[in-house]
Amino acid sequence: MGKKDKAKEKGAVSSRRDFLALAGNVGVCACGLAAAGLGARLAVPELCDGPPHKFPVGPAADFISGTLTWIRDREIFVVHDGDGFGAFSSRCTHLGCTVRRSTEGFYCPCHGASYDSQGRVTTGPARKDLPWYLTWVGSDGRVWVDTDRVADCGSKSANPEGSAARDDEES
Amino acid sequence: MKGFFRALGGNLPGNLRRGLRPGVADGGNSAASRLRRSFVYHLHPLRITRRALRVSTTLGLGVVSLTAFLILSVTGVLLMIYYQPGTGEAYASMQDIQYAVALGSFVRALHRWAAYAMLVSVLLHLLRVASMGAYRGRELNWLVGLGLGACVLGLAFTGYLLPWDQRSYWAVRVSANMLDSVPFLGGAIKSMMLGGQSVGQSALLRFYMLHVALLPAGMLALVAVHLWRIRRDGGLAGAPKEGEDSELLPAWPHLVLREALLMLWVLVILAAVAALVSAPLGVPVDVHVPANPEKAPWYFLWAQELVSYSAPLGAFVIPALLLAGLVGLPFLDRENVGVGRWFGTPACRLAVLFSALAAIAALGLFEVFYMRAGPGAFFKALGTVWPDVVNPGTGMIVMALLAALTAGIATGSTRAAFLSGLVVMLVMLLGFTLIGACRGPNWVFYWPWEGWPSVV
Repeated sequence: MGKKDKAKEKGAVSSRRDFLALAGNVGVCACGLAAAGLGARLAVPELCDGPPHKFPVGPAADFISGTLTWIRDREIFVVHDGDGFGAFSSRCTHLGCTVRRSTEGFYCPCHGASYDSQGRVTTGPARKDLPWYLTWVGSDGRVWVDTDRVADCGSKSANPEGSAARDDEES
Repeated sequence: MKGFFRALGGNLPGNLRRGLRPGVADGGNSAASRLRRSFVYHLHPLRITRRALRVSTTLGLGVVSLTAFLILSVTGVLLMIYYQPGTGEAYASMQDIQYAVALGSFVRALHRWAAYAMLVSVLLHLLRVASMGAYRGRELNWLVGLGLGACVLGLAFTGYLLPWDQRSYWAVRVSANMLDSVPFLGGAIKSMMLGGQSVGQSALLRFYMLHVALLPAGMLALVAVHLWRIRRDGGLAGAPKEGEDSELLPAWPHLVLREALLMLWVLVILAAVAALVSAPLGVPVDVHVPANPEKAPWYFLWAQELVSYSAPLGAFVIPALLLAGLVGLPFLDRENVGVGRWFGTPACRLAVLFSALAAIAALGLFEVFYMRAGPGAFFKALGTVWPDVVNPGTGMIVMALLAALTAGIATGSTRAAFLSGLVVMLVMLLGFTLIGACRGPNWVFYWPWEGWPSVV
């Protein structure tokens, strides 16, 4: 006993038994942590579900010039005017609620953010403008949007087939 | 009561009887042997002080929380018989439970009210222990308790999505996006929680798994450790005052029967409420259009109000600060004076009282100036960067720090400093909850007596 107490006073691991016990405990803890990590890894999704990010939103002829159309399933607005077609997100950049149209532009019902008619933040807790996406009219006569490619605010494709992106529309 | 237990075990075989009946034992019929030989009572110490028995010492909040947890486990299993965790089936199965299944709406209501009771009692339990400094010498159990608190919040959050109605869907969609403001880990946690980037079938199934398996299992394990540590740490914190009755009473029947009675009362009251008030089921979900306004459940309204000032603040900074403070508390406070007394010493009580009054006054001023001007004017005046730095939420942090500093210097006590800061945060968060409750369409503030304008 006396020997052990002395070892404890020094705060050192003196005997082989102490060392093995410590190594055992550390080993068990490490294995447990590793198993927890592997379990968590399993929960990280490998496959991405959900709709494709490049999609047609309808025949170009259906969009009347000078109007704004909300594409419900994709949660984007499509604008059509003299410059051509453009599209921007209808998801508030604050926390992702769907914005609604107002007299000045758009507002978010969830936390009161508001945007102008081009989707730029005017007031409220949102810090970023609504993102615009690359939009073009395909050779099939439909309007295509790619939500992976962000465009400048207000950018529209020339009407009808002015975009360089149209060659990769087959997807 | 004695007769009841005798009747309970009257015709059972010997071993079983000994387990159930805390008096019938091979050797002796003493109080000690009752406790030693019974499974139900082995958690209790043999003897207990009069002070520990008084209602005002603990308010029985731990027992109330435990009872709510037991009720939730039983009603939860019953609900699992009918509930289907699919985006197409979930809402219909909730309607079945609510309107078709025998006793379904009662069991669902009991589950809902027991959950609310648990949220409240767990919060009060934490405040009771903190205000008494009862974490002294019980650092591990304090951390286990915080883990339990996290489980309770996680269960409330995951359970909220399961009905798959309009409110629950949008609450979770908004909360999931809040994780984007958490640095480093936020994105990974979000994709692990949702099983993708949006709230859909994978998210519903994962929330279901968390709600019925992982979190309850974690909770059960932590409850076991929590109860065991109470005995290991020597029961309730705090020595009897001078001149106070230090006589020890046997835990059976003095403590055990009081606990059983409290559990019965909790069950009876919750069952009565559930029988009278059924749990609301919202309208079917529209996954593209949120209602106006879309309100968080009452226990997360403060967070919704805070993120409406600044997303990173409400989603990360304030929760992280609160957590860090609570975890660090028993390691920073090394004082033994006033342990086991409400708000410790008289000086500490005074500091806490002043801090609470200051917080109420600040909240009133904020109400008059800020709310009257309207949040729109506030954001317009500050541009797009400053609202993250200057807003009512950061005002709360500054005020809590000031209160803690003042109380710490005035009393020289870490505990007084911490409790003063905590009480400022609590008063303010309660205030934010009330303000959030008053939010109407477009997140505009309306007094309760004002009608909401109709919006399309």
